[in-house]
Amino acid sequence: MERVGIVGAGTMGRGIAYVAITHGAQVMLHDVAAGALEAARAQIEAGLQEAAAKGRLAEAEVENALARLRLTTAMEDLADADVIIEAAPEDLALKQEIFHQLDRLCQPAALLASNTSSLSITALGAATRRPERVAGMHFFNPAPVMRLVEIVRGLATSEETVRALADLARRWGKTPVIAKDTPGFIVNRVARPFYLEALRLVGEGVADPPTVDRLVRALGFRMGPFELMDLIGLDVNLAVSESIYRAFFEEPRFRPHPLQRQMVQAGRLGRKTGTGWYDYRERS
Amino acid sequence: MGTRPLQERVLIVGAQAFADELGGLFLDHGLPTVVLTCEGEVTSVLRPDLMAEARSAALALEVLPFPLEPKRALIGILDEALPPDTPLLSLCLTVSATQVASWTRHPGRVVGIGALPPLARGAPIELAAPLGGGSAALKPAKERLEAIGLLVEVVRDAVGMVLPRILCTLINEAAFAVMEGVAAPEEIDTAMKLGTNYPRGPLEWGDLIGLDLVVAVLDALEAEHRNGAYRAAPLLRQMVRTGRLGRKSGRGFYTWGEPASGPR
Repeated sequence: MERVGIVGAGTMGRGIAYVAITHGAQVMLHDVAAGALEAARAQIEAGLQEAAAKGRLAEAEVENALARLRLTTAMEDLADADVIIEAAPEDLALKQEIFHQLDRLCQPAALLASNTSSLSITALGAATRRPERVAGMHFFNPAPVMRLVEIVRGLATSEETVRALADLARRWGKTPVIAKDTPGFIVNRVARPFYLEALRLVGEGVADPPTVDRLVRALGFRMGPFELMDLIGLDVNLAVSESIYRAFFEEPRFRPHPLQRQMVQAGRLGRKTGTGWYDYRERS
Repeated sequence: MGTRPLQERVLIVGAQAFADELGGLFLDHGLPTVVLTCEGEVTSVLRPDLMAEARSAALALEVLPFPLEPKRALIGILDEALPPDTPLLSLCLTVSATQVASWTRHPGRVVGIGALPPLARGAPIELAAPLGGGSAALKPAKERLEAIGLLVEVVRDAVGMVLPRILCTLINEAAFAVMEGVAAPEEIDTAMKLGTNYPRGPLEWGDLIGLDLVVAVLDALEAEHRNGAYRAAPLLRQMVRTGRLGRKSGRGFYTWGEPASGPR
């Protein structure tokens, strides 16, 4: 049985905690905000009850799983964890500070993983005295549903660490893939042209967003690039585009498109604001 | 076939990967169709057959994706032999419809096609009229392709149109990731299928399309845009040089068994 510490009780931290407690791990969920922790527990409990109602989880397991979840605002409570998964906001300085603290308080053998989707694992490892035990463990949203986990090997990460985290992901019912620490790892990097080329096409007037989406769906994709941008949020999509473009020192393949920025400037962020590439207000 | 009305005859000429699949769709719908395959230069053996078939064709599809010189020669032969009002549809993966039209005496009948193999029933296909053409052939071309079960979208003329640009840039980025040692091809394809719900991994897709065609599309886009965004991964060129073209040559990013099966 694993003792798992999770730092950050936002969307990803909650999802990872759900996955861990439903696969037998003891979880200590940490957040600086007590309110976020209570909201996380409520959401996890609701998720467990929904799973039980749908027959995906035995009734008795709801209580058992919840009993495996503990909450704390004190980072010291993570001291006896075997594995820490950090899921704090995507801010390098903040994450480096967290890794620095974890390194000082956790057992020497503990593995420190980050759920970052865009920051350098090598830079996080360098904030500790155990960079060989630091790796990326990138879950996808929603974590309970998405099977993929990217295990990211930093410059100093040991094979043992990579193997242990990949095994952990498998025990949790996930499919791990191992990626070298490079900007965007696999998915966020390889998916860039799906958005950027679609934006260039619309920018050049070759086709409009609905036409591009219809064509892409006809190939078997579940969503076209514009509907997917609306779902993800255009601000999030732009931030990822800019981050990867900068991380590759302005490689032209990754250049963000002015249309992305214009949409963000207009406040058309997608579904969450009611308009993006499509208008969602008319549909309800 | 002599008893069939003239206007129904379809002539398809070009690369087998496109010609056979499109020919199959026309034949499945009971349309008299002649398929002539040609992977490059029109040979002296093919030329008389092609001229004869073209003279009685009511619809012609030229589907040689590259290289450009043989494609231009093929278009020249078709333009000369086809009745002047027969629509001439040309596969525009490495060239624009506007460019193809500029090679003909009857630019008004030229329509560009954008499509990639595998082409099956329900597959998307793009059509584009040459710039300033107001192509009279666009409407009948769209009707014919819809009638054989393809999803037709009309787009503005540009090299590579929509899907070939999106797919080839995805495949290129995945190839860069392999080249740079980010992960193995299987891991990259698994990640894209599970992490973003792609119907196929981009490298498997590259093998199906043919890596030589992927490089040709990227090179044409780079030549057209000159912005570095379409720079082909050197690994792709190396694979093409050594004959690892994908499924059609038995090996690409994956080893493909006979008969053509899945990559694993």
